[in-house]
Amino acid sequence: MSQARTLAEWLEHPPARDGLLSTEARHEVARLATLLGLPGPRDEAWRYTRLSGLEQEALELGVEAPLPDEHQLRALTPEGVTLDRLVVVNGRPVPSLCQIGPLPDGVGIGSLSAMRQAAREGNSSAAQLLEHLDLLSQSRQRAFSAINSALAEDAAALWVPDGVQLPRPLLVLSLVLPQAGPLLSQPRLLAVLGQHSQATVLEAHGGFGDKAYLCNAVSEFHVQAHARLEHVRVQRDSVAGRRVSGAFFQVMAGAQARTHTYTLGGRTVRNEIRMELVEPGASGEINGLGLLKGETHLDNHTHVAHLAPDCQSHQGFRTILAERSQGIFTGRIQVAKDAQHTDAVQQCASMVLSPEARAVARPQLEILADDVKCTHGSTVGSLDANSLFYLRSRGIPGDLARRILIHAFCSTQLGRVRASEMVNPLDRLITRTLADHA
Amino acid sequence: MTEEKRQIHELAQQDYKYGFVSAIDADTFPAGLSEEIVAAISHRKDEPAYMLDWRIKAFRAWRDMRLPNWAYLTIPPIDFQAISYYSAPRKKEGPASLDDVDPDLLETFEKLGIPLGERARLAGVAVDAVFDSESVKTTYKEELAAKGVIFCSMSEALREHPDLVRRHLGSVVPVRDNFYAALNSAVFSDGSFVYIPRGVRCPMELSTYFRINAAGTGQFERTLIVADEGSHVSYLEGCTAPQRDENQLHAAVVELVAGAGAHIKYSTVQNWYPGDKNGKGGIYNFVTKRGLCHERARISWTQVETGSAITWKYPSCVLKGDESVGEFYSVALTNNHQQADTGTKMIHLGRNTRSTIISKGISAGLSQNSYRGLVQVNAGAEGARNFSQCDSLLIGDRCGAHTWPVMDVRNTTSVVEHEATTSRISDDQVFYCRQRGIREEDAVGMIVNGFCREVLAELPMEFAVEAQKLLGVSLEGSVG
Repeated sequence: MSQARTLAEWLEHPPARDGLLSTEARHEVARLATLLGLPGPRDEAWRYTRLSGLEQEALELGVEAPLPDEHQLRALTPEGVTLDRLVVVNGRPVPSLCQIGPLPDGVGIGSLSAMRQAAREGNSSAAQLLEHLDLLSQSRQRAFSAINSALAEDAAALWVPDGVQLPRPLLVLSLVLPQAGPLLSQPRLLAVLGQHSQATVLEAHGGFGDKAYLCNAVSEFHVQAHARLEHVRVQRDSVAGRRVSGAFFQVMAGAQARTHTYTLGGRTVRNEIRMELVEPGASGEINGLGLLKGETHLDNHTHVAHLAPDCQSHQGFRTILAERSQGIFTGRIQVAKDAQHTDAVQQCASMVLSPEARAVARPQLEILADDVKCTHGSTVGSLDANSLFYLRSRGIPGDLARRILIHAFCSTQLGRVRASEMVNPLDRLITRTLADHA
Repeated sequence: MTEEKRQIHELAQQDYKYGFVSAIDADTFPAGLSEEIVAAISHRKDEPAYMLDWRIKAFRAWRDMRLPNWAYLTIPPIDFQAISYYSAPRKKEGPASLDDVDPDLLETFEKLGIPLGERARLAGVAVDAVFDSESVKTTYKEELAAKGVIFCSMSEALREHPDLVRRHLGSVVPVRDNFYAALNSAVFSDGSFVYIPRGVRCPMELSTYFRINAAGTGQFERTLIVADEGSHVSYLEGCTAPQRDENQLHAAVVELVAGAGAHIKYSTVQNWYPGDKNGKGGIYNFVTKRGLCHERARISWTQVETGSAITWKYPSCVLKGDESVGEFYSVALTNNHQQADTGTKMIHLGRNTRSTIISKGISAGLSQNSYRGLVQVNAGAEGARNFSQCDSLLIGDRCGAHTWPVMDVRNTTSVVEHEATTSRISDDQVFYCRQRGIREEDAVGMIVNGFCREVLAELPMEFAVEAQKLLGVSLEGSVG
């Protein structure tokens, strides 16, 4: 039975059953979420993004969701790549739709509830995985993490043991299927990569239908010493869809985490990405591409914390803004007192294609160590008239010339994806989206 | 200990050069702020009636405002009721000429190296000196009057040119603009007023020297510069304060109005007492500076910030007229326990407006230095262009350098670029200099001066020399 309640009511009376957390724990986190309150215009970090009316809105949790049809699944699946697939509908993994091939010993892919069951049956790696839950999401400070922890029913989970390389990329298909009224979907992902392990994770998020929804996603990644993580996230929300997503990475000694976020639609999308480089030699990369049109409002908010010496980070964001879209970028690089020999780069470029669009860039450097190299650069501009002229003078029609230049602008981001099997499908996706834009 | 080390050590012990107190008889109001105090200031200054209304309006706005807390600063609580809002050097029967000015006061200026009177004539700089809250002497007035230039204290301007002041005062920084601007509007006691008539190129540099002398007081001066169509003026501002264990508040407002085609160049060398090595004492410098550019006008802000315990200051340009130009060149140096959160705002409203921001932050000791800036390009600002560069230099491993720029672009025809770097003085550079027989302290000074050269080049000659020396003095003891 679906029920619609406001967020405050849900937090006051969270479902009285075990979900992501135990009944008791989810009540406690719910109380905390109420105390934290939703961020408003007076919060500097939320200055440019409004989730107006969210407090008053009656939302359903969409627990009894219908199964997605084949067309919806295909729409989000990259073509021509062999993948293991986990399907999550309205925040709940659906085991019947998962397709997992043969895996090396010890690798765990599935729902968190299944892991919990395995742990009860004495599976030690499942028990270890559970210990990592909710350590990174900052649910004590970040209201949306607390809401997710309190109201999420289950999570997708990945465990890669020490020294194991995941044979195929893992695709986590996360669909939002609103039914009668506005829906609150709370997908959650927990991934732990053991020492010297390697994995590619593709999160494909999509919303369907014309009903309003709020998707409050939280993903946590523990990348242990010398492990390598390649994380690609594609977000295609419907025009009525709002999304607040938090991705949290903890990178240990000599490990490498790379994340790429492609935002291709939605009404209001807020992506928060936090990467902690905790031990010496860790390196992190955060890339993002936004292709925006209509009324889409995209707010990318990154925070890279250099907490140990000899760490490297790179951030690269590119946004194309058409029609009345808005693109906000806030990127913070924090270098702690003893994080000497830090090498941090941040770049943000926006291409504004319409006089009604708006681009805001807020790079932030906070440096407390002296032997560091930190740079950031940001540009806001339009299509270069000289380049357009060059192409036109070689007989390329204006429309095509524009598309070529815009595609070239986006391609830089593709070049940063190391998982080579993902590049072509992503390129096709971008080309298709740009063709829709035109 | 080598000779150099010893010298460096000695230099490090060197104290704030301007930290003397002048024993001048002052007329100071009791501490506290109320409508009565605001009215008393207005009354004492013999102001026109509209000023009292204006001040009261500002005071009421201020009372309802909250202290801004968004800056990267740790500001100890300030008791606004413990400050005296008015302190004037007591007049011994109104000085008619330089000879009648309190000799102690003249001696003070002597120590500060300010050319007054005859010396000003030689130096070719017109000076208005503001001592605590009162303007004490404006030099070179007659010579300027011949060109139609008005350069006087704000109180005099309110008496002599009330309509001119009324038209422009608060037009760029409204009374409710921010907490400290509202406070200043309510209690400001003096400052400088400049008016340059249409088409006049001011024949000399104008200069104001500010000094806080009395204990337990704050300084709240207000500067208004109006440059009429096609005129040109270069204005210099310098400041010092005595060395005290208490923190003193300085909340000034500077408003610039540049008419069509006018050019205002505003340079500041800020050297308020920064507090001692342990962070005790020092001036809280909370300043609002903003300029309004009409068509083709140009405003350049150049600042060298070395003093103050805490600096909170964002000289800004509102580029309202088409083809107007805004510039901001800044060197902010912090040492010991100093904190600075400074930068600029460039608001592009007119078509083909241009702005340049060059900011150099140097942090040493335990200090925190932040650049905070906004470049906003509105929908109507077609063809707007901005270039920003902010570089930070770290000296030592216990200081912090932070950058918080914001770019907000709302049209397709403008180009906005921002670059930032953070670096430190490399051992290689110092070694190279040492190898050529240059002392370590001098080498660091040289490297810092090189780092700042784009900004120092914008300063008028006399100031550039002073600024270079100041950078050297402020860095003493931070290396070696």
